[in-house]
Amino acid sequence: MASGGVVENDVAHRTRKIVFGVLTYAVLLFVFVVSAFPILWVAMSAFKDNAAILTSPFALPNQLNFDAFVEVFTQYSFQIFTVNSLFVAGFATIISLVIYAMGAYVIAKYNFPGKNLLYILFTLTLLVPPHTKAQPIFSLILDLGIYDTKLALVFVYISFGMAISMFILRSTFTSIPKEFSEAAAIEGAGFFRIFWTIHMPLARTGMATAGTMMFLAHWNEFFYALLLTTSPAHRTLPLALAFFTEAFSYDYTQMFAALTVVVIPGILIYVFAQEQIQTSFASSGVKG
Amino acid sequence: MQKGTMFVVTALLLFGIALPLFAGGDAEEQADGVVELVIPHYKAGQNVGARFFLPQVERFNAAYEGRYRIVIEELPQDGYRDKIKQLAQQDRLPALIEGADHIWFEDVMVANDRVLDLGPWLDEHPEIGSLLIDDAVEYNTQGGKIVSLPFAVVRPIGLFYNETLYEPTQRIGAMTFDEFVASLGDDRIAFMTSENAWTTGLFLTSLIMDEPGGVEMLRAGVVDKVYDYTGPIWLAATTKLQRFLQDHATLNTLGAAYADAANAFMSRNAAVIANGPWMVNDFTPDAADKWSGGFSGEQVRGDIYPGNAAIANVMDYNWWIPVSASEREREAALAFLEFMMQPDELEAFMLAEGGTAPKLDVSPDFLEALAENPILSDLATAVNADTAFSVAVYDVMPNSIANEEFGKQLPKLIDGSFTPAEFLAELTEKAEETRM
Amino acid sequence: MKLDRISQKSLPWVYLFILPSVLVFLIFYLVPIVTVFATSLTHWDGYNAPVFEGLQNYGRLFTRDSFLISLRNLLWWSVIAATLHVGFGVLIAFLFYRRSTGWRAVRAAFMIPNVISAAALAMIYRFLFNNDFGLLNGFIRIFAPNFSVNWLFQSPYAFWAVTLTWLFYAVIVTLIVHAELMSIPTELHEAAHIDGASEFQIAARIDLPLCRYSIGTSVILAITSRIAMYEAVALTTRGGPGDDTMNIPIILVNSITDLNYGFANAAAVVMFLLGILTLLLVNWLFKMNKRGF
Repeated sequence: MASGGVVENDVAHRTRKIVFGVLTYAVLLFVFVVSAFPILWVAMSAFKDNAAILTSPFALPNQLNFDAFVEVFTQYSFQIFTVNSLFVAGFATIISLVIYAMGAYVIAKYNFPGKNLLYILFTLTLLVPPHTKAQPIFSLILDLGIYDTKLALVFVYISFGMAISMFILRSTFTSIPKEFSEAAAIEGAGFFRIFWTIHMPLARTGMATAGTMMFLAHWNEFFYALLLTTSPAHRTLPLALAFFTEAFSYDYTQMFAALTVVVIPGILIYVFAQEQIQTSFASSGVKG
Repeated sequence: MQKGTMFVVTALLLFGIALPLFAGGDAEEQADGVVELVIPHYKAGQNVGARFFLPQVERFNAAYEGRYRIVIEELPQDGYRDKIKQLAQQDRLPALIEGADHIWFEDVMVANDRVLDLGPWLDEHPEIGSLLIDDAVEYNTQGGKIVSLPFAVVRPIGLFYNETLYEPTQRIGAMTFDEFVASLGDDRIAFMTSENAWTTGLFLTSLIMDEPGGVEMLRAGVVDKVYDYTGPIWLAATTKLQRFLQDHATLNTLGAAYADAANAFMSRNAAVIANGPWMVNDFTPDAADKWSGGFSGEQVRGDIYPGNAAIANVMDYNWWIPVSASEREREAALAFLEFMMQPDELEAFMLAEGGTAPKLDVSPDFLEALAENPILSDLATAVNADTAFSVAVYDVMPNSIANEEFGKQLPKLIDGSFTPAEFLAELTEKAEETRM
Repeated sequence: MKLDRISQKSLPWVYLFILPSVLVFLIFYLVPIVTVFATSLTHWDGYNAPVFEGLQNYGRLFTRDSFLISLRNLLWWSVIAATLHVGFGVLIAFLFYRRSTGWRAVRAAFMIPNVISAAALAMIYRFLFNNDFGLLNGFIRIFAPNFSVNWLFQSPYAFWAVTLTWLFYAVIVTLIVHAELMSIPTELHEAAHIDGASEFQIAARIDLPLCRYSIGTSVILAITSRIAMYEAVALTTRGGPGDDTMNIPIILVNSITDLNYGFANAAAVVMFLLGILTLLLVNWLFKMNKRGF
């Protein structure tokens, strides 16, 4: 009887496992479909003509016609814009990460006068209406003499990630147990060493998250790119896309082709960066 | 860990090295005494307006070679006015600017004397002054100054229809609205509700013009704006608009942006679209990649609205010059305005983008060329001495009502959850709220 | 504030570390924030000199129907964001943590909506929700052939249609929570396994409470994003039909269109205050100032 009970238990256990597995994959599939659908639709629509997009927007294209893509590439030099975007978003992200990791670290780990006020102020920058920032930032950029340069964009973008990085990195640093730093302090490690050799490695996933979020925000930024640059040499992708959507505003086919061309590099960069982060975790032996 | 340190150090180093590379200068070199004007403008690149404007700038540069040169800096149309406002804030306006938001231009630029008075220049050039339309001159005259170049060309906004779908029994302009409705049958009109609901707003304007006193009301509203839409003219016109929206709207009307409305027309899903003559650019063979569903530009005819009415607004701001421009920049900018106002340039403009110049004696060549463009000559001949002209509803509404609220409230009018009276009461309340 | 010994000793370092962030704040945000607060008490067209008029802008704001509707919408959106949206993100984080096959592909895909510009997404949603040829209604009509709803442009559906445009895009929540899950010491799990706890029990009793901090952060972020939500509304319904989907940023931008900067900035101040309220409330609810372990 006893062994029968165990078998029964085992069957129930296995059924539960299967049900659980099916549910898991149903949810993951849902996430995949909901997230990937928009870009798949955009890419697919680039192969259909206007009428087909309008009347049956979700039907598959009848043929694979790359004309729209050829047109997009021949009319605009996307390589330059892509490189510009990479450059601006990349530098702004790296510098922001350094600045905000330091700030979030001391807010999470140390007590000092004004700490809570600063944290509230930093996070509230998320709610500063864009129009109120535009004017002071514009005059600052002009005063610095960096109007119409990529540096201007790097400079301004650094300020963007403040709230979200503070949120993410403070949360990350707080979740690192105190015992680590206490042990290190007893061994005589100084402030900087505790930060650099104990906390930074443990905070890598958080850094990666904050970095990704900031990079994508910079990658898609339009308003200041328009305001602070004028020459095509400093033009970023979102700005280039605006010229496009205007030129082809009612040529959906062309517009979706352009959109695909602009979006795909962003996705590739993201996937590539994720892989890099994964490998670096694997090699450094830190779990994550 | 060392790898990480290296990375950061390398990044910072790279940044330090790269820094001087992009700290570029912005000096406009004036070697050989040529005055160069860098003008940010949206009529560049792939913009529809560039087709005429860029060659015109080239013609100017050729005509004034060695003296003036205009360089157009490409800007997306959506960002043009915002950028001008920001540049104005920093006192870095270019020497030539086309158009402006009314309130901003009046309250900020004109009120603070930051706009060059074109009066003295026009006095020196009577040949230009004689071409300008009176209403436009009056509108642009503020405090004894002429704040922007008044229009010489008026572009009557009417409608376009597709002959293969809709065959009117007579000229639409000669019909009454009842006859127009009867002739429409099952045909659809390309309406929209997104953006500022442009094609729908034009149609509402034509319905208002059809009401007794409507034209006068609209014309009187340009300067002081209309904040109360509850009067009988608005009610009657909106009631009719609701029926058009319910019986004759294209399937994609709800949420349609201009692109969607234009697309409906250029894919034969709509037989009629209300729009200005500049749309003829989309009906020429080199715009064929926008056509689908068997549509072709040759199927299109142009006309004005039923009841012999057309929309035309010359009471608007056109090209202006900021006082911040230097003496030499002003000279160059004025030379460009003069160039654009030459009879042959005006004619070329009208052939490219439509319109008529009421005070210009056009050349025989122009009339000949016009006859070759069936849609433009449709429009030109549709207008007669009795045609009523008026501004559009957008010109009499406060900004946010014209740009946002009108289109935003339309869906409720379409699905019947607002009666026309409720719709107008809502707009009136919103308009009141903008006054503070 | 009483300083512990370690903090006291490291104070110079602490200030050195916080300095760059403070500088960024001073350079980019101080002037705008002060301007917003000061001019919210004035009649100001954004260019000419502001004229002081006390709390009048706030009076106008709180008697305006569209603002009251915005507050109601915000309340609902915040509740949905804090529960369903964050809940969904947390669920996905746990599934990623279990490393089910293919999770990396899903994670990459999950990020896509954040890579595409908001304008493009809005356009896709206009097609998706279209009554006549939209995918959603096409699907519903398989079961109910006469179904007809204009999702984005018909009361009361528009509110839900707008909600659906962001509800499932919870990748930020997932990343934040996933990062914290990763930092849970494996010893805790091993110990629980030895005690005979099931996977589910471990997730519910150990992991979930330990992620309290990142979940709280996610809730704050999700709600503040709703307070500041502009594009998701502006590019789909623009606050319509009528005022159904109005929110504060839309009011703010419309007021700027009419050059009523003072009034717009009063709306901005309300957004700030709501943000602070959210921050304090969530901190208190999640006891985020205390640490577990």
